[in-house]
Amino acid sequence: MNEQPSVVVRSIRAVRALLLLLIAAEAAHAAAFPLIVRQETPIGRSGNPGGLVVAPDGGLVYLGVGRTVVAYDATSATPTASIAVPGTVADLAIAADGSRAYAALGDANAVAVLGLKPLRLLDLWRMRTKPSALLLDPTTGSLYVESAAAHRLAEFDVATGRVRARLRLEGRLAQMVANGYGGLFVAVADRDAVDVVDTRTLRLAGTYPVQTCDGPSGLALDPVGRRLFVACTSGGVAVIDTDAGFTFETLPGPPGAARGLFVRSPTGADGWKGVAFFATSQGTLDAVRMMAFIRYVDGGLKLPRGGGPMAFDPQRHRLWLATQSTNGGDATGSLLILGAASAAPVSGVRP
Amino acid sequence: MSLARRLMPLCVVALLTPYSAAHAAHARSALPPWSALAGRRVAFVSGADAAVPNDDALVRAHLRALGLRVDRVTDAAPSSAAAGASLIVISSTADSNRLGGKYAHMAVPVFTWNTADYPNLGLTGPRLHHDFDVMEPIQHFAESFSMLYGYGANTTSALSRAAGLKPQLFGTLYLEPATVGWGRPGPGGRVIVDFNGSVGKAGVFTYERGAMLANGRSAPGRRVGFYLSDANFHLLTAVHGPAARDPQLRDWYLGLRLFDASLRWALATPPAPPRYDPAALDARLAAIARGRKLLFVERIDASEGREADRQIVAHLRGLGFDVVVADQMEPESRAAGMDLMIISSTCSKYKLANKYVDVKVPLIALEGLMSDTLHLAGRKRFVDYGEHGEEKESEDPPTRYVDIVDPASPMAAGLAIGPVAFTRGPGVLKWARPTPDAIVVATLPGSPTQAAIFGYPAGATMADGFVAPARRALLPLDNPTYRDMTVEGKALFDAVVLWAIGGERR
Repeated sequence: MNEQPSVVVRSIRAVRALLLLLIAAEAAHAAAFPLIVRQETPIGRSGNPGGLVVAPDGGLVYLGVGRTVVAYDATSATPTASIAVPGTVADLAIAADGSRAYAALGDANAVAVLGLKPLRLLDLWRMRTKPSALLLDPTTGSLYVESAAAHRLAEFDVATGRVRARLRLEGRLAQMVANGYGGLFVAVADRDAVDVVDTRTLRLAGTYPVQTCDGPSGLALDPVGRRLFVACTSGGVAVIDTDAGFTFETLPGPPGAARGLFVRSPTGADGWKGVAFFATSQGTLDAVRMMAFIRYVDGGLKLPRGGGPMAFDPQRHRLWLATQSTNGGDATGSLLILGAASAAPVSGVRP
Repeated sequence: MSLARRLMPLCVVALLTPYSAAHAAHARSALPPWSALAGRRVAFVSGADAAVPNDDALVRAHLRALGLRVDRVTDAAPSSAAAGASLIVISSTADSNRLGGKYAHMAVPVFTWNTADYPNLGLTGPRLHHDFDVMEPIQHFAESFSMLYGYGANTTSALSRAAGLKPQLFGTLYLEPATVGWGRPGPGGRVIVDFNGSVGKAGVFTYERGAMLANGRSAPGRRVGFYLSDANFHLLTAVHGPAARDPQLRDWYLGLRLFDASLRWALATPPAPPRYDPAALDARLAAIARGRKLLFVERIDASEGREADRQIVAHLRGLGFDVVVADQMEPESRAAGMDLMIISSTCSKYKLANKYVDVKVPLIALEGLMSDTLHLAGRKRFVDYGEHGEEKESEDPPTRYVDIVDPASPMAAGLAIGPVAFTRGPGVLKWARPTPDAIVVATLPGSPTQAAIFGYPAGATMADGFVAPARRALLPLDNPTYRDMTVEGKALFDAVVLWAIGGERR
């Protein structure tokens, strides 16, 4: 009696083993954080970071820290220029053509208009309220300025510096993002909701309830997949279908006030198609990685300090993250530059 | 923040979202508001060792957010653990073998998404894949996607109106493959939502208290079967933000609204079943008939059935109806100004053509073979409609009985569930398979899908998508003399006439 398995049986076993290996490999791959810290640069003691943007041509990265805006070389992460501004920078936004940047000066009730080539102060737009966040929508040519303390949203015409419209939103306003086709989303922490603003009219178009976690603060929007990732201060990331305002998934996530950033990299060498990053004040960086439009996995990274603003350099596939002291008295911070684990090491990497 | 508080806005939105003023007004009048149900106790039956993740905790929180008191009962607990509850909710996490029908006899309403337990409760037959099934995305990947689309099969029941169901597709669960259950309810069941264009695959179905279950027994209390499974309550569709302003999208994302309406219907007190009292029924009909105009369409001087027509007309006139007799060949304009019309089985279906289909006058057909022309049923003869006892047209023997399957309906005349002698001797009885929007009162013996007496409310979706312009009913009075009918048969006749003219609302 031949006890050896037949060729067919052996083939089936081999295929099954291969499938199991593939599944295990995908699971291991999925669970891993997609990036590692490849470089860290101190940002001094001049204040906490408030805003980080990458120039559209990928040459420079701008960081607002204290009452200064500093330009870094995107390759070496060394400072190349800086400019003092008449207020503490709360946030930065950069024009699509890379010619200008805007700085929300929280304690000066103003928005500073900066020329970037070279770095200089061009104008100062005074406001009645204290700006806390900026969002530049290239489709409307407007700069949206959020004033969390005043529960206000103002729309500036970037060509004239005039306010086109204002909107009052109820509650404690947190991060805002826009989809580029008429929708601006504002997290409202104390109402457990995300307000949806119609950018064509600057009117409240509706509200998404966030029902599965408390205190939505950080937002990351995938405008292609039409997914809004909402990080809550209680912990957890709700994934909302922005077409229906429906929370269809809630993933675990670290607690703490968060700032989010969605990075889409469909052809990237990083092995991922899209990731929603959330940096929390508690010193964590969470990544919700898109496996498919309905399947996500998350992973986390412990930061040396509290997470601050983030920006992604699509040319080098690197995430820039400003960290800040969680101790209010000590304003030391650093810029972390994260890249794919598989990429070649960057010169001067600190472990 | 508690889960209950978190879910409250969802409930409020689900309850307050307008779908149509007319529907909303009707829904309010038909089902009690949540405020009237607050504080009711719900026994939530779930698995003692249920697999995780599951949505049981979310469902319980949702029920609490609606104002209900929720007690958890494990599937291992005796049925007495649910004593005193206003509603028993059975999750699919409960082991159907442990449940074993222990709640089948309870008069308390049952709302269940434990598909495997449907046969234990008598909600469906026992055959997996035929009477009930659970479609899960690993084994049935493509079909589980098709289950994301439900169809509003019934739009006129109180539950359907409260949910805002329309005769169209809608999103049952959020757009990802999920495990979904369906059942094929028995003769007294009402299909509210179906899948894949098949009324035999009911996603949501109900039994009124007293209605005939799939096992032939009477439902001791209201029963609802729902398409959920262990871990997809959170995927029941709802819409928020700008999209919620679009009525089309509100009508699409109505899974949660349907769930809530089903709960509300189950918790509502069923109407008191009518009492069988032929004399009182006659008196009631007489009180309403006085001065009402009734058009009786017949084949004047028919060779067969002429006597029956005369007796029916005499009976109607005796009740006080102002009866106008019209020949089958007269134009349908004869129906103008009428309060009710009856088409006799002496009429030729062929000669009558498509007359009276559109008239906005309640209509009773005594000829089941006209089911297709009148859109009472589909167009497949012997499949969608047919007859028992006709020598050349039926394999079924002549009969004198009908099976009452929904004794709670006013059309049932207060007769109890089960067989009722309709005529004194066996003869021809017609049947049809109406759409789920019909109220089926009686079926033919041994043929639970062949409805003998049924009615469509105005606005109901009839066969071929035709919308009932006014009430429509079938009463299978095929040429026997009126005097051949039993007392019970005549009571059914009067009850159908009373229902058709809207008498139960007065």
